[in-house]
Amino acid sequence: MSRAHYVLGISAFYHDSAAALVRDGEIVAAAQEERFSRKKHDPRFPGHAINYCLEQAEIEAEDLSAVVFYDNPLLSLDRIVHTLSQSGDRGLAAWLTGAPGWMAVKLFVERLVQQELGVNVPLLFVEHHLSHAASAFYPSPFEEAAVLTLDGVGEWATTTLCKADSDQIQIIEEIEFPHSLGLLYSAFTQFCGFKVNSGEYKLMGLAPYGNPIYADRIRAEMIDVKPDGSFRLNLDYLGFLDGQTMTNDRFHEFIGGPPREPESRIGRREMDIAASIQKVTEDVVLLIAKHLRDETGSKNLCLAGGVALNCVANGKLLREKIFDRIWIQPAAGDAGGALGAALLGAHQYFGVPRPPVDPTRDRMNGSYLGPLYSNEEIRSFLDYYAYPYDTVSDDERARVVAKALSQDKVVGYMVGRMEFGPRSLGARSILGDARSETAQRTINLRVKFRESFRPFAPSVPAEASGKFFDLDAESPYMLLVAPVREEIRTDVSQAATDDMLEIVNQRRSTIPAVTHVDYSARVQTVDGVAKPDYKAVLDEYGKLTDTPVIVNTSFNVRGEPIVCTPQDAYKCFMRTDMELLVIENQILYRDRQPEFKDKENWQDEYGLD
Amino acid sequence: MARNLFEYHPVIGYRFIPGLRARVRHEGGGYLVQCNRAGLRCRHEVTLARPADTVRVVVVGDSYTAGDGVSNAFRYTDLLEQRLLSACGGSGVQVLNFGLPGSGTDQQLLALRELGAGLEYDILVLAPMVENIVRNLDSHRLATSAFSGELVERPKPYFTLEGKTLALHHVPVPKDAREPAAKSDAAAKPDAEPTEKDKGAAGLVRGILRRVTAKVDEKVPGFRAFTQRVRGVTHPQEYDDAQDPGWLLMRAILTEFVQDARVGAANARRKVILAPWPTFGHIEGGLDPKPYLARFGELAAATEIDLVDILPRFIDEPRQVRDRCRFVHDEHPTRLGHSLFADALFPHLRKQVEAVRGVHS
Repeated sequence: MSRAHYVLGISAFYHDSAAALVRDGEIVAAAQEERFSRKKHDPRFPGHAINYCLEQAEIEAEDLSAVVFYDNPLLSLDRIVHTLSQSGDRGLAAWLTGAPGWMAVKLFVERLVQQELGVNVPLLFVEHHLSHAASAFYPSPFEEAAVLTLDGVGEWATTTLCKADSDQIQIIEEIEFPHSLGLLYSAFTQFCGFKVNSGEYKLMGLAPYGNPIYADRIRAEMIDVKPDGSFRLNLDYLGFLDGQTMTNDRFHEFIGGPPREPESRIGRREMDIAASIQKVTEDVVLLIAKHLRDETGSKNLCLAGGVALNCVANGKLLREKIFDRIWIQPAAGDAGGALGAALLGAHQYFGVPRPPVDPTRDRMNGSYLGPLYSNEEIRSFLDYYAYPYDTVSDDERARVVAKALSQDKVVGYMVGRMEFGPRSLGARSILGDARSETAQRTINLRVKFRESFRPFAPSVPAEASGKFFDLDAESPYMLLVAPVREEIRTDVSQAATDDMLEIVNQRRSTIPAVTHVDYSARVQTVDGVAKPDYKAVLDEYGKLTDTPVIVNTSFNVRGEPIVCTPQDAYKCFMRTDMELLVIENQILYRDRQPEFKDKENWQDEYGLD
Repeated sequence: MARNLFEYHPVIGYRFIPGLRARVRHEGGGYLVQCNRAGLRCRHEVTLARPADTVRVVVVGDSYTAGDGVSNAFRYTDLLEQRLLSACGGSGVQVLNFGLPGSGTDQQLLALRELGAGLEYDILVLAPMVENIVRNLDSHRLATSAFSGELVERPKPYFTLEGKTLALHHVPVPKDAREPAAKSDAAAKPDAEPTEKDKGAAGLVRGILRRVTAKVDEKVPGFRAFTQRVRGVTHPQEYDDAQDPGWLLMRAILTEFVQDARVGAANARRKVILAPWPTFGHIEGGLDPKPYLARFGELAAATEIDLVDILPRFIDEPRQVRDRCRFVHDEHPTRLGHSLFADALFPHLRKQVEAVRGVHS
């Protein structure tokens, strides 16, 4: 019998570094470094994540056939040097901070890998957008597909259109830096006072509050979009080429004022800006998708790259029915590049055949690819510190959680392997009662410590989703936004106010905690195969309430990476107003816990995102 | 944060978390830690009854035996089992690893009593690291908090010698961790019973240096090992005199191992092998092994156990090979170090295994 091919993929040095391991093309493990290092979007070499991957597979470093880096540092350096030469003195400051990082670190990946693993393993480099494309296609339930990756930038490419079939992925068109839809969205994100590379999600959440009054002007002046979706940015408005910020004075004049200060009040202007850039983005994505469909003739679309996390655009893409089926890599950002790199190494370098495709199920294991902690490990921690808990069976756990939720309690839920990607999918989640009129405000302000305009996502059993949402596809990764069904909506008088709290608190449906101001919801459909424990909670909750829909938000506080270990979960539980904590088969009640003496100044430790 | 490896145990102080599967990042490239349901870092799930037609060998020791720095399969215990199996036709030998990192022989004795109670076995290998004699004198040990990641001092069980009898203290082991302080254990906690080491000025100096160097070592890997060599920890003075209180305590504990092993008529002739791990100061050739070999030799003669000196196997190798027997910063043996230890012990152990097989058949 031939030796198994273990291939380790890594992404690092930009943002959100990660590692992923595949065995003969099957995904064994994947995790982001931030979950272990507790530094949000940690870009450093993913030593902890690599260690976890080998731990999960229980293999030695010398069992690896290769390590594959998700990016070609020489191509990236080429872009950096080229850009520097094009922008002359104006770009010097920007690239003095960026270029040394690439030259000093990226070119020494081999040494870092050798240091981490203690042995020499062949190191391969693949192209950034090909890594994204591979992460989207190989695990998908499609034998063949069109593949679209939309990102800020990777080496030179910002947008890549591919045709994939069996083991092969072929790039058919690319749009190159500096013309980037991702960077344009990030520019507006920064202008609105949110952080680049993490605040884009906030901007998307803000969009439904506004009107797209700037959209036509953006199209007229900032981005030239062709009928096939290809585009060019007007760099006169953008600062990322030759400055330290994404925008410049001309951009500010375009909007009619200076950027919003982070943490200051969000006003009508920011809402309208968000709505406008969201509209432009959706339009471009739809045009590119139509063109890609024409070029490839495929009925299936795979999506990856940071822009693929724009679930509002994804939902529109689905409803437009340009493609019959869409599959989106749940770790669509740079972290997912590690997985794509590993899969490329397996299929294209070592020639491992792609495992047989099941058209009904992808190969991501529900994205539950991170570490699991045994009951013994958990109890050893709880017992040592004498934290009171009950140990319950799986069935009893589902009943206890469902009952607590039905009583409008907030539950920290840590069961099973941690999710890979930015979304919590019921393994490291904070759960709440979707029927509650106060849950959104309570969880946002007393648990998450963040702005209250951000909507929560609902989890719903796959078979029941049609009762609550206009969604005719499964959405296991919370990457599709769908309208809440008309029949469960309630009329709301148009609020003549800019007070977002007042708008948020209006009851819009029978599941107000997950209904956004535009009656949309970022749905997670749950089935009993990938996540039986979570499905059991939903089913029990459905029995109690007739409404099997619960709030599912990430298990962290603002600025903190999602919890990974039992210790992380306990700390987060005790620092917030959650009433119940579930760690595997252990249930902890807040009112039974001893006083928590927090040595860490966590509000300073976790910078605002 | 790394996965926790240990859980509290009221008698031993701690043990590996039962069933644990973990990997530890390390300067050697990382290593796998795989534990059985009994809380031992051992490839076998232990049954009390010896498997049929199997010679069972139990090995006790500290982190050198548990295998800090290398995966299970590369430890000398696992290598010995492979070699014994090869010598015995592929079956009929089981080597059980009872190694407990960070322990003295006091905790090793308690671990065998607690985790191996009622265990059928044929041969006991005592593999203390010679520095363990110092740990026996401690009432606390340095540990990293699983919660905060900070260095703390945790109570450990320990014995004192009352006349000729061992008296056990700190059982059940208290859980109250304390900040490492630049004070002697007794001074830091006035109500704690002073151990032999606490009573002397040498203990005070050791306590201060141990805590300071542990902190510095976090920033400068290898600093602790360096200072240990400088201050003679790798050549514990307790071996210099047969009447040294530290040695008398060590001797009493090792004697207790032998007595436990030979309880009952059926076990009266059970084989016990003493194979101490030298420090790397001895292996690298800078320190004289005679004091510890003399003391262990006296003990072996008095208790009718076999003493195996593994040091010559290392000394046979050129300096550059010996240098590769330990990690650059971490003072634990590498795969090569384990392999040479197994080389040294194998001929003797094989003879004993064959003798037991002869009796069985």
